[in-house]
Amino acid sequence: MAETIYVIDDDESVRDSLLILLSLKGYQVQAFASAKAFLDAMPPVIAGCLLLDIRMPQVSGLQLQAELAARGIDVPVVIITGHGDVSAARSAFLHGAIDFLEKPLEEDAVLGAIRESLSRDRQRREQEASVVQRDAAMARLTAREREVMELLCDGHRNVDIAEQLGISPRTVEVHRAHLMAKLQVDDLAELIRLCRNSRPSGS
Amino acid sequence: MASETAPANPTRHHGDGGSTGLPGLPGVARVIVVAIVYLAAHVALDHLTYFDAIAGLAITPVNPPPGLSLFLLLRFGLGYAPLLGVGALLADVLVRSASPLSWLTWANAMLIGCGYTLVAAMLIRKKGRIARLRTVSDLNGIVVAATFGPAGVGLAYMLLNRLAGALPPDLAMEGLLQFWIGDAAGIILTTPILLEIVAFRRLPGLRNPEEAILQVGAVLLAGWIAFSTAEAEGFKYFYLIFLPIIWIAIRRGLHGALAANLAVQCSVLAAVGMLAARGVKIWELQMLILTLALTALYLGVSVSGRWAVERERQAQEGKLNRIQRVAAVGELAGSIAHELNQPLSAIAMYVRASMALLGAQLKQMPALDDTLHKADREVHRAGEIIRRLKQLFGSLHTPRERSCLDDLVKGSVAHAAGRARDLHVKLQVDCDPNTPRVEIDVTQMEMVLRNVLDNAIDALAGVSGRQRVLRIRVAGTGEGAVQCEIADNGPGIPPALRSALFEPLNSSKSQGMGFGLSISRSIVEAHGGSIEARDGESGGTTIRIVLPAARGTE
Repeated sequence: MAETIYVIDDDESVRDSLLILLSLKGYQVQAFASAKAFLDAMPPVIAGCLLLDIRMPQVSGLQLQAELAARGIDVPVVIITGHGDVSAARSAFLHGAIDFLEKPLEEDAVLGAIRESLSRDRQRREQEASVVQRDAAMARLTAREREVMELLCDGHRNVDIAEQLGISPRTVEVHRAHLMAKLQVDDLAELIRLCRNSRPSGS
Repeated sequence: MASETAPANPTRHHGDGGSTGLPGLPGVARVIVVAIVYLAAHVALDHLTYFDAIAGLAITPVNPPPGLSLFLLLRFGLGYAPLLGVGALLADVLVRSASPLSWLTWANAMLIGCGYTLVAAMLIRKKGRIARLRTVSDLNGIVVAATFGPAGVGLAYMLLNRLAGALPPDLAMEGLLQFWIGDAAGIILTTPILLEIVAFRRLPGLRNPEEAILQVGAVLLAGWIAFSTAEAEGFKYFYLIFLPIIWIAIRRGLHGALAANLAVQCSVLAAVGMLAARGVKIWELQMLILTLALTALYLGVSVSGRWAVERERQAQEGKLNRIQRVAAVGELAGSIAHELNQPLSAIAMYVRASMALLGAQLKQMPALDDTLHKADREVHRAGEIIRRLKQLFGSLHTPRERSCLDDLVKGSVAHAAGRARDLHVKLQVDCDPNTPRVEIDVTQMEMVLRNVLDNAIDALAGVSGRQRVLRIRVAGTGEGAVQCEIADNGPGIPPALRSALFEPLNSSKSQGMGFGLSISRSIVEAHGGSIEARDGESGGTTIRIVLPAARGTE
C-alpha cells in the first residue's frame, strides 16, 4: 500500500512548497487547504502521516486531531504551526502528535519528523496485518483442533489432553501437527505466545 | 496652612506607618532620643497651656500632654509607657512647682501615667497600632479614647486630690469637667497632628495658595465676629467659624482640617488672657472648639479617604492600561510573526526544493550552489529573529494563582457597572457557588473579562426600543472545566466581522484597534482554555469562555 503524506495548511505557499519539496524527496504527497477538505477526501484506510497546521479557519488542527481520534483513525500527526504556544503543543502531544514543528520550517526537521511518523505508521500497520493474519488462521482451525490448542496453551501434556477429550494420544499428535502448520508456528512456546495474544485480556 | 494632594496629582510618596519614624538609629540610642524628645515636649506643651488652672493642679482648658502620650504609645509601642509617669512628674515639678518630696506629686504622676497607658492599651487592642488616620474608623478609635479616657482618669484624679485635701470641695465638679474637656481637646487636637507629621516627615506643599488666603481670611473674619461679640452676646456667633473650617476640610482633606484646628486653638490660647479678663469661661469656649475640631476632623478624614480610594483606583486602572498596551504590542508582534512565518516557511522549502531539483548538476555550478546556500541561511536568520521577538513578548506574564472565577467576574462587573448605569444596561450576574477554582493569571484574566464586558456594553449602547440586558453566568461545566458566559441582547455580531472575529486589527469601532478579542483569545488559549462567540438565544451575542478547573478541584 502506497504511503502518502497529507499536508493540511490554509496557506497556499506553505502547501505548495511542501508539496514540491516532499515530492522531490520521493514521497507521495497530497495537500488540503482545510480540515474539512481533508475529511471529505480522506480514503477509508490511511497509510502515511499528516502534516497539520493548528490555526485554520472553521476547524482547527487540534480539532481535526480530536475528530480523527474519535473516528478511531490512528494516523501519525506532525503539527506545523506559526504560533508556537506551549498549551497548544501540550494539547497536541496529549492527542498523540509525533512532533511539533514551528514555522519557518526547516527541511531536516520536517524530513526527520516524517521518517519517524512513517516508521511508526509502518509498525502499526504490520501489527494490524499480523493480527488480521492470525485471526484468519485461527478461523481455519477445526473445532477439535481449537480444543487441542486451548488445552496445549493451558499447559497440558498430549496424554492428558487425549484422556480429557476421550481420543487417543496419537490423534492428539495429528491435530497438534495440523494446527501448528495452519498457524505457521514452529514450536510450543511460539504457539502459547500466539494463543495468549489472541485471547482477550483478563480471561 | 498645609494641604493634601488632590487626586489630580496622584504621585505622592507616602511614608509608611509601620516604620519607627527614626530610621538609622540603633535600639538604645533610639529609645534615648525618643525619651528626651518626649519629655521635653511634654514639659514644654504643659508650660504653654498652663493657664486658668484650677487649684494649681494640672486642670486646664486645653491640655495637650495626654495627646502627646497617646501618640507616643500608638506610634512607638506600649514599651514607652513608663515615660508617661516621668513626664507627668517632671511637668508637675517644673511647671507647677510641686514638691518632689510630696507623696501626692508622685501619686498624681503615677495615676496619670497608668491611666493613659490603660487608655492607649485599650485603643491598640481595639484598633491596632493606628499609624495614621486613614479611615473614619481610626478617627472613631481616637475620639472614643479621647472621650472616655479623660473622664475615667479625671474622676480618679479628682478623688485622689479631693481625699488628699488638695482640691477644695466646691471646685470638684468644675474641676472634673475642665479636666475632661481639657484632656479630650488635648488628645483630639494633638494626636492626629503628630501622627500625620511623623508619617510624612516632610511638609506637604500648599495647593492653590490664592484659595488658601481666602480661607485664612474667612476664618479670621468669622473669628473676629464671634469673639468681638462674645462679651455682650456670649458665643452666639461662634457657629460662623464652622463655615470656613468646613470649607477648608472639604477642599484640603485631613491636613487642612488639622491645620485649621491647630490655628483656631492657638488663637484662643494666645488671646486667653484677654478673654479671661472679660469674664469668658474658657472651658465653655473649649467645648465649642472641641465640637468644631471634631466636625473638621470627620470631614477631613472622609474627604482624604475618598481621595485615597480614588488614587488607588487610578493607579490600578493605569496598571491595567499599561498591561493592555504591552499585550497589544505583543499581540501585534505575534500576528506579524505568524503572517511572516508562512512565506518564510515557503521560501525555505522552495530553496531546498531548488537544490533538490538541480541535484548533481549543482556541483558544476559553484556560484549558484553558494548563492542558494546563502539564501537558505538568511531564511533561517529571519526565522531566528522572529522567534526571539516572540520569546520577548511571551515572557510578559505574571505568575498564576488559584482563584475563584466568580470573584474575578464580580470585580470586573463592578468595574463595568458605572458605564452600564449611564447607558441604562441591566446587569444580571449569576454565579454558581459550587464552581471549581481555576489556576489563572489574575491580571490577564481580568483584562479578558473587562474587554468582553466593554464590548458587550458598547454593542448595547446602540440598542433602543427594548430593555438593554447584559447577563453574566459562571458555572462549572461538569467536565473538569469552568465556563463564563457573557450574553447581551444587542444587535449581534456584524456579518463582516464574523469569520475573523478574534483576529487582530479587526474592529467595528471607529476608535478600536481591534486587539481586544485577539488578546483575549491569546490569553485564554495560553491558559489551556477556549473563547468563542455565537448568536444569543434571543438575539444579541453570547461570548463563552471555558477554562480548565485547577487540579484537584474538579
